[in-house]
Amino acid sequence: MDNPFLKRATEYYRDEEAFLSVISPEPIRYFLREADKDSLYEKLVNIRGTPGSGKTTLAKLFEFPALSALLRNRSISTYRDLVDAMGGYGAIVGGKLEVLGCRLPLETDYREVWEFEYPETVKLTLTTTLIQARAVLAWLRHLQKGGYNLADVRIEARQEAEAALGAIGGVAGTALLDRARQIERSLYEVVGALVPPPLEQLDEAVTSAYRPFDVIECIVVKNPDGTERRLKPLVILDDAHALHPAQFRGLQRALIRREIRVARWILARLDVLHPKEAFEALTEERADEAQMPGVTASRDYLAIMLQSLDERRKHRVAFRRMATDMAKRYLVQMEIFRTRGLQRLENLLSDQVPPLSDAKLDEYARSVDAAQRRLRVSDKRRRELMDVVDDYTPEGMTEVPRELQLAMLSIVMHRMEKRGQTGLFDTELPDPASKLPKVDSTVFAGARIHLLHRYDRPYYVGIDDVCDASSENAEQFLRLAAELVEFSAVKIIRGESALLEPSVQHKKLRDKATHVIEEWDFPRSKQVRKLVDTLAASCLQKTLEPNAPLGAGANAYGILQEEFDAIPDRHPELALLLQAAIANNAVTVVPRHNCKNKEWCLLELGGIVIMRHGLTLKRGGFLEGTSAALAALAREGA
Amino acid sequence: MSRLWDPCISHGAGASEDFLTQFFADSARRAVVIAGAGFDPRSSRATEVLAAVSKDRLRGVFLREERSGGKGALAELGEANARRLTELVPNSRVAAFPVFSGDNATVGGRQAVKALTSESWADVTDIVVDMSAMSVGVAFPLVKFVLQRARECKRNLHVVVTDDPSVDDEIDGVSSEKAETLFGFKGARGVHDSSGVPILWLPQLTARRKKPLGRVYAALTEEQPVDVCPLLPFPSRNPRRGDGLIEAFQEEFESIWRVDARDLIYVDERRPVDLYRSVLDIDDARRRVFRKLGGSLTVLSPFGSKVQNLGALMAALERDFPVMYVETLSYTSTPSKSAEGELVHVWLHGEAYGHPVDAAVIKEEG
Repeated sequence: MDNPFLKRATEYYRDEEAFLSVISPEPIRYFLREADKDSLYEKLVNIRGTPGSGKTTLAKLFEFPALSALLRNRSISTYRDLVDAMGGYGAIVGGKLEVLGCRLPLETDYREVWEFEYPETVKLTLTTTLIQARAVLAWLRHLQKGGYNLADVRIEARQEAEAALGAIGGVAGTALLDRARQIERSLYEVVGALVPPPLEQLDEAVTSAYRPFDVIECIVVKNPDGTERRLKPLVILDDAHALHPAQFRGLQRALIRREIRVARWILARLDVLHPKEAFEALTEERADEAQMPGVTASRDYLAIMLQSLDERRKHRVAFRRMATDMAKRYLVQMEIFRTRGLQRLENLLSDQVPPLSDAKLDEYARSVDAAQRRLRVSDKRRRELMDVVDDYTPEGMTEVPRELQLAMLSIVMHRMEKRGQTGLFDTELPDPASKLPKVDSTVFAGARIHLLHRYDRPYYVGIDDVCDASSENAEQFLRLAAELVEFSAVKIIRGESALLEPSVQHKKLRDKATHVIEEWDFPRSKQVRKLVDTLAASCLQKTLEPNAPLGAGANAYGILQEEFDAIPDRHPELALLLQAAIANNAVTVVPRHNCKNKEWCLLELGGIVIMRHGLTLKRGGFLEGTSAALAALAREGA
Repeated sequence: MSRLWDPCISHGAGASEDFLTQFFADSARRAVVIAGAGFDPRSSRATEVLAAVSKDRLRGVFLREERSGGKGALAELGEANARRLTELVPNSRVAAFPVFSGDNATVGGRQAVKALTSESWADVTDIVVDMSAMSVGVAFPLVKFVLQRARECKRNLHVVVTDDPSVDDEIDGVSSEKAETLFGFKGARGVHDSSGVPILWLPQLTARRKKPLGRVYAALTEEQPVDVCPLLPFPSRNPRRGDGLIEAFQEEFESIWRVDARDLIYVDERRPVDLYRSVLDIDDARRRVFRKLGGSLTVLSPFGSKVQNLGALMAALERDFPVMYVETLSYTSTPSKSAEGELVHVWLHGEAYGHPVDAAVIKEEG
């Protein structure tokens, strides 16, 4: 069965319309919400995120062919939202394209340049020359494919760059193309050679002053009606983490200069940074400033992180909105659902968890009775507690199932015991009503997770859990959703209801989580797996304490912020390991978390890890630890 | 269109050992064997055969690929194999080099070529490259480089592999995250003139390398439309091997790569020439069809057995096909078997194809 959810990224679509049909405007609105639209095209823009966070999708959306297709189809309701969103960021103004965007993946060729035995300045020149030549080629190629004749294309050069104009071929589109092709060919021969030529034999074309970014002010095209349109050239350098770190920094320095009129974005994963820089970036201390003296973040470049650092709650809600919208767009592509009018993933996921069987309920009731006796809680006190439990109904529920009430009772009895309030004589409490443990959402959350581990009661249920387990990563969301969609389709084929029971959702999601972790295949994945498994086991132990001290439990390891900041210096191996874990969604960093009058940095386990180990997706519960203890754990896993 | 290796001088199981024994027994022949000295139990098999007949007319260059975490049992096995090789060929050197740089960029191919750049071929008539214990990212550029040298210096070039797909299946590791063109095998991929040209991707499948294959596909589709025709082994030692691969890649075939039964290409598991010819036949047919539409680009991904990879190498050398691959960052399991596979030989350049060996070398010997 063709399952579009398995197409983990939008690269898989063959034409622009198909690509646009699965794009949700939500992430664009959210990630670019604070970006001043002029800054997007004037300053260097650094965009960073984990794999699958949507970097390439964003890049492809701002490319000329996608924007052109969007304009062509703007009357179709599916695309209207997206047109609006793009309009807000200056790409489309008044129904017309303003930007000529091209995306250059830096995964191949460029890194090889850094292996040549030439001085760094030469290697950097070769890198930037190749990038500039390919950007010019891509802009002109996009225009040609968009139906423009190169004879009707020209550039406007910056006044002060007249001298360099000759080196790029002049202002005419055809001459620009010829020159860029010549440069690319010469460079390609060097990059592709088994043995690179000695420095002195390098073709002059590749080391000469070919700098179109310094020259081009804008690209002017002639419309069929004879009018001219000025387009802002935009180059999006994708996968810049593939570059050598020194090459990456050199490229940033080269592109940060304000006199460049070409809009330029650099998209990279966090791995591109040195651990110290990555850690500082995660805690928002603007690492680049340290790497590039004289550079000020707010003044010289725009930083966009495709991962929530602040306003995490808001971000989670935004991701849920985006993910459900994305799921809707994918689901309508599956005939089996479309023809049945099933357009929303959330409608396929039942959240009615069936009650425990009578036998299990009896067994559980007996165990709660045993706990009562062990804790020396009198029957009278138990009745009082049960009354409080009965009075509690969480939002969205009309009735709390019996097993949950028993689990809540068990938790509050244990909480009383912790406070030393149990005993044979009930009258010892001065004001029993005020001293009875409160029954609130934390008790309810604790009860749910205790029952998950005791009776495998479905826990990960409904669309919000699928979204939250995705660690705000679109690709991860699609992978999880794919399992559910596939099974729902199978049920339809079997003539059954498309609705997935909570037990099925829970099992499918946990099985998938286990599978994903077993399949981890990235540098240091083995050590990362071991580390997160150990951390998860400790979190689980805390979670399952009978008094549920953290409510729903723990899913993070907390280190004092100052200790975390010192990890790259004090524990460099741990820093590399954490960087790999963060870059691959195994761990999320929550910096500057205030608790008990201290500032913590939380290493929150990724959603997939959380589900595998049966922990809560609710945020905030953490184990207090130290960087030294974490480093010791990391060494054990090495 | 004439082809470099059609006809091809190649020997399969049994025959290759006989050929090497007889051919190198000639006292006029002096050879250099270039082999991988890794943990792979097949490291020394071909060298043993050559050393037995060539004796002091044989010298060796043994390559040690170094990867992160290069300690422990695998490294010890590698060192033991390197010692064994240097014992077999006393007139030899071991060249060690990293496969990855500090930032995990793949540099093995470049380093291997560098290790041989200053090698002198003046004293040999024949160059034998044993690919058995070399990773793809090292073997492909190295053979390409040596082939260039063999042509320039007028030497015979032979490539041998000890083939045992079950050993290949046992070797597991952590893959690099980057799908990239092999060093020296970029072909026309990435240049302006081939942008937008439809790609025909001919991957050789291995069940345990599903993820890297997915990465290659994703990298290819980022830029251009891609048609996929997987190469499956048949005839094969295990007749159900191809079926097993179809089963393992069911999800990819149906939902991602959109492969149906008509797209499958079956190639003889034991004959590299079969894969070579099949790939070239397909490329010829596709060129004819796409000529007026701006052309097409055939891309190979040698994730298969050693013998099949040799066939892919020959095709890539002849047509300058781009070769996309994901290098192994570190190995995590050790093959339990000893070197029991079949030795396969392909004569790549020299006398067999009407390119006599430089008379000066032979004369000197005489």
